[in-house]
Amino acid sequence: MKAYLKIPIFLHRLLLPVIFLLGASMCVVVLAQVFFRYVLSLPLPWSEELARYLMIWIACLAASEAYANGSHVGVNLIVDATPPGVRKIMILAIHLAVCILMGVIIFQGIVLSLALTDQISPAMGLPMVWPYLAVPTGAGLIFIQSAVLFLKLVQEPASAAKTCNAE
Amino acid sequence: MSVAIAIILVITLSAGIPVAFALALTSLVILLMIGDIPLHLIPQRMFTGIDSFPLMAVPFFILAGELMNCAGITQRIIRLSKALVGHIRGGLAHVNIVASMFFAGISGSAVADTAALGSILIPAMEKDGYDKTFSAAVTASSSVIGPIIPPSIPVVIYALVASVSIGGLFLAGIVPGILIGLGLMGVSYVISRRNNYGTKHPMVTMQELIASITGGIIPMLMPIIILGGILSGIFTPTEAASIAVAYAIIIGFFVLRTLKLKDMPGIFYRSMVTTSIILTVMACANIFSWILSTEMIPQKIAQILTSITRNPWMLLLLINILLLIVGCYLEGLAAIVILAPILAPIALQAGIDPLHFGIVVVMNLMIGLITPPLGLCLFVCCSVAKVDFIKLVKVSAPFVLVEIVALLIVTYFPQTVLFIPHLFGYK
Repeated sequence: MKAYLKIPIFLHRLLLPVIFLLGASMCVVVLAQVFFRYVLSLPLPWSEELARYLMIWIACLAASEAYANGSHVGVNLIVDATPPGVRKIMILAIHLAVCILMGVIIFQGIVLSLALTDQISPAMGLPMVWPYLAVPTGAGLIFIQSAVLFLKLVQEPASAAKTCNAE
Repeated sequence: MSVAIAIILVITLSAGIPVAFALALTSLVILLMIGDIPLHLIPQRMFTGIDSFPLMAVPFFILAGELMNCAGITQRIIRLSKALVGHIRGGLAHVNIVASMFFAGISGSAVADTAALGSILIPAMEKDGYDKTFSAAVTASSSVIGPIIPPSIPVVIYALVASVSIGGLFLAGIVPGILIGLGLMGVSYVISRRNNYGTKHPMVTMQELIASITGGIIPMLMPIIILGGILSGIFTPTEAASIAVAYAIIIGFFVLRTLKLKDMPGIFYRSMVTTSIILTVMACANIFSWILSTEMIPQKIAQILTSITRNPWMLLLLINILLLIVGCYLEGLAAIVILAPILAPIALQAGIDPLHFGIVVVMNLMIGLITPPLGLCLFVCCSVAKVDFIKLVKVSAPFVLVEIVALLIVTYFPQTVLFIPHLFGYK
């Protein structure tokens, strides 16, 4: 097996427990918010903000896994109707376009995060760099996944070109 | 510029780029064309697009549904539905539809319902003498009810992008959902009678009825907790959804004892990946909506529409036709995220009630789940039942028709939608 094909496997092994932990924390934080507000009448000032930032990180990390599985929604009508040779080229073009887009988001996301170094979140006093970094991190992961899918498809016969979306 | 936006979006979408990235790419190209706007607007709009506490209801609803599914509530729901409607002619078809309506109160996602119910009920219907394609058609068309009866993920998304009350819109979906269910049952009755589908089942005994109701109470409490919590004003929809997650975990671990600790990472992972698909669309659509509003696209479309007609009823008809066409090609949630910010202000200006309009939009786009060429639920049923796609489309036609009739009733008799929300004081 080519070395780069191991990257998605490694990322999946890494992200599964991370996403689980972040997701479970998000649940616990919101349930704690409910408990403290309605049972103890001691509303937590930071719970809502923390839960939001957890959700943003989850979404950014998990989106790359969805891209690797081809489960993002899209219109496959035309791609499916094309002959295998054309389809392969179209799908390569899709991965390439996604790579370019992610490149822009990574670069601009880092620019934005660095511009926000002295800004802190209203409730927790957390530097806004941390939540904002989720966007370029997620874009970086999608960049890796689409680059791997691109390289893999280049070496495969045209008949292997399957559409990269769920409907 | 508006023509350029439309052309680029249509090209990127039809090229097969995922909807979210097609929106972001279109925005990127337009921003480069406008020129003097700093591009860090892109990650910033993406971040703010999902930096929302109400949006968190989506991951929680998905998680609660997934937990309930893994805890094995499907059998209980089917048993309860059998006890209620199994004796009517076309019994299992009705069971399928009623079970979809119950399921709607738990998962809020049509595709999950289709897969869960289809894999059990389609083989059962076949064994009972129903045509396989007919069974698949019933399963697919009844799954449309899921996103209309509360709690519903498309409704949450619509409420957020069009700024209407989530609780109010939940209530508004109840009658239309039941209406579709009854319509589908009517069609099933007629078709089953004509083709002599299914064996006759006697009415269940009182004992079985009581047993099935007590068995069904566990899953059925979930929508009641969610709706009750929201309507009483105690919880926000997100908090109610988190309670639903806690409820599902308690039921799964301590009451039914079907969930295991080692299943949890997988359940969370799957739910969060599903969530991320929706949130990616929301994030990217937020860049796109910035461009739409700076280019004043909604106003321009409103101008075109109002130059055609100023009559709200005609306007609703035009929008319905537009949405039915869009719904055939574009996934429902993505269509809501793209179109609701454009259409909702137009409807409001024409004097259409925002709750009424919201349900019309959601219902309309969900019918797209069972219309070719991109009917997601049709595809799921095809693979579950292993039937021919074209044949399934033909057999589903009367069901689609009855759903369109239900849509027209809901469109032209706003009271069907609004009477329950008004009862609870949502205006």
